[in-house]
Order: sequence, then structure tokens, then C-alpha cells
Amino acid sequence: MSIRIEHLEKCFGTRTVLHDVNLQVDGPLVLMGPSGCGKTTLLRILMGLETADGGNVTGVGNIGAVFQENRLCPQLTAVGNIVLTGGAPDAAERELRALGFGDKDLALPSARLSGGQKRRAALLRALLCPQARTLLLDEPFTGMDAELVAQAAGVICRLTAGRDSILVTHDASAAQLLGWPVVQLHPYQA
Amino acid sequence: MASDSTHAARQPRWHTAAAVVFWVVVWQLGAMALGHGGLFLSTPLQTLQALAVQLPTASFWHRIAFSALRILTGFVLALVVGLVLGAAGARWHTVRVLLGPPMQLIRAMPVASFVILALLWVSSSNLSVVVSFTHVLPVIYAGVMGGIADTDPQLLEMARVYRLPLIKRLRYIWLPGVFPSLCESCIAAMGMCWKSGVSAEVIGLPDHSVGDALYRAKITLSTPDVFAWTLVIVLLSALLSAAAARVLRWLKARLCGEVKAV
Repeated sequence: MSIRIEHLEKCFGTRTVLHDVNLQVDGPLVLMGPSGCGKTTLLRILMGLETADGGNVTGVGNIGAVFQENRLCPQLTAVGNIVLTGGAPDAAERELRALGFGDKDLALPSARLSGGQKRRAALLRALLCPQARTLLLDEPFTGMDAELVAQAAGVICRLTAGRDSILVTHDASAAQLLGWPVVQLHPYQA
Repeated sequence: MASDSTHAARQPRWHTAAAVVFWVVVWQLGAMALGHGGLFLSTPLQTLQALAVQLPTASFWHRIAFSALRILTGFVLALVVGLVLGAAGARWHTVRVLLGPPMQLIRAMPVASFVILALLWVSSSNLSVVVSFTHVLPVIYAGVMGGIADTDPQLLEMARVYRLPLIKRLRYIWLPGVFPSLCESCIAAMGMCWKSGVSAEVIGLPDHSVGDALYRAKITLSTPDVFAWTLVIVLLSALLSAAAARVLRWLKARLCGEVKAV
């Protein structure tokens, strides 16, 4: 089932962030646009964390999300965080190792992981969530170097197959690596 | 405050020991200066001697068991009720508003006033249960409310988006959020419940209690016994505070630790 966004409107006070946004998501796409154009707000509306002032959103299934922040339970390991949202522990460990986690990193509570490691764990939490039919990934490559971005892009392509996915990024080269359709979101100008 | 406690935690143990020795010497000098064979201020040695006389007697341990059982019962009841009311207060504004005045009243009320009132409702032997319960309850209630307020809202949003079941939210998000504040409250409350419980016993004079022994020592002008019982209360309070902190840390590790795959 595809996600349909029709005539979406969102204001914060007197500032209009989203105005008459229309989008149909069938499979994966990359959402790009300058800072403040409403990309994160759009994802938060799809997640049900913000209420739109107007318009309709349909077709959003169970969500797997990467937020702007990592939002990992600090006392749990990376695998623990992935298992918490339903991921299988063996798949979690395998994919984390594929993204550069060693034995020591796997044993650490996530509070003690580096920023980049936390980001990878947050990304895999979304991708490995078995119930998630919709994946909303907000800047998932933050804190990763070029080599890791390439590896993460490969994992994303493999694990999003068959699910509606919106990936927000500023990084045009990362978007190119994914090879997904790109949608530009422009800031609203009255 | 935080920097003070951090600083205190880092100081070597011998600093603490040296400070204790310093104050024991001051105590000894003060007792010697006052004279009268320790009638107004017993010496540390007289206190230890009085304690040594008490220690092997069955009545000493009976009194401790009697008071500890009742004071700890009050504490545990307050912990359970405080957890429930704190959670309800954090969830529902009306509950928070309704509970505000009685909690403030209990906090501000002198132990003596409360004891006199409580004696009208309960027997003196159960007085310390009621008094320790009522004095611990507002501390636990505030600790739970504070802990819930400190729980990471971003993690709660994550739980909402991923539709985590309530039991997982409680165990992996709410409990780790509430525990630091709850631990601090429990440690503070443990000391408080001993103070208020024994004060209640000194007024209500239930037989076979620590408070009764303290009162008897006072009316017979046995100052070393007063000091010895006070020392016992301080030690029990410190010991049980440390035990409470350890149990809570253990519980946190057990309850909020690694997730087991289903």
C-alpha cells in the first residue's frame, strides 16, 4: 500500500512550514531540501508526532524510524536496542558487525558508543523492525565517514526492499549511492 | 550541591576517618570540660561502655527488632503507595492538584503534633508504622514525580512510534528514568523514617521499643545510655540507607538490564 500525502499544511505560530504538499510514496524515495524547509516536520506528521493543520495522509503502516537524534535506550547494548523493537538478535549482531561493530562494541551499553556507532544502531533498529511496513529515516548518515556511508547505503537498499521508505538527507552523494528517486522539498515563501 | 556530592564521593576514605577522629576528640574534650562524670555530655568511652553493656542482652535486640519491624513496615508501605500516587500524579493533573495540599501539610507538620493526633487513632505499639509511613510518603511521592518528569521525552516518542508494549515502556524507559530520583528519595527517606519513627516512640512509649529505652535512659539521667541508643539509631539508619541503595541498584540492574529476545 502506498503512502498518499495530499494538500498537507503545517504552521508553527505564524510561520508556515508546509504548504500544499502533495506526495505519493510507492517504495523508496529520498527527500531533499534546504534546512528549515519542513522535511523533519513532514516525517513527524507521518509518525503521528505532529498534527497537520490541513490536508490528508493515508497509507502509513507500522513505522520503523530513524529520528534526528539517535534515541537509543542508554543502558541497553546496540543489539538490545534493536531487539527492544522486535528485531532478531542474530540478525542484529550480523548487521552491526557488517557496519563495523567489534566484540567490544557489541558488549557496551549504547551510552558508551561513539556518535557514529549510535547512529548505525539507530538505523538498524529501524531497518530490522519486522513489523515496520513504512520506514522514515531522518538523516541516517549523520556522523559516518564516506566508507561507512557507502556500507550503510548498501544495507539500507537491501533491508528496505518491499517497504515504503522516505529517507531525508542533505548529502547528494549519499542519495546518489542509494539510487532512489529524489524529491525536492522547497521552503514555503508567502 | 551536585558538585559537593561528587567531590565528597572522590575524597579518600582516610579523610573521612580523620574527620570522624577529629570530632570524637572534640566530643571527648567537650565532655571533659563539662565534667560531672558525663551527666550532661557523656564521653565516647562511657558511650561505648554503655553500648557494650546493652549489646549482649536479649532486650536490646528485642527492642531493635520491634522498632525496625514497625519503622520498615511504614517505609515499605510508603514506598508502594508513593509509587502508585506518584505515577497517578504524574499522569493526571487532577490527582496532582488534589494531593498537593496533604503532601505539603505532612511535610510541614511537626512530628510531635502528628504523633499526638495519631495516638487518638492507633495503639502506641503501631504508632511508628503510621508516623514513618506518613513522613516517608511525601518524599517518595515527590521522588517518583520528579523521576517521571526527568524521563527522556525523546525515548517516549520513540516508544510511541514503534508502538512498544506498556511493559517494555515501563521496564526500559520509565523505570530507568525514575530510578535515580527514586533511589535518592529512598536513601533520604530511610534516614527520615528512623528519626520520625523513634521520635514517635519517645512520645507514645510503646513497650519494648528503642524510643521507650531512650526515654527511660533520659528520665533516669543515664546520659551514656541516651548516647548509646542514639548511636544505635544513627548506625541503623546509615546501615539501612546503604542497604536500600544497594537493593535498588540491584533491582535496577535486574529490571532494566539487557532485553531478552522473545
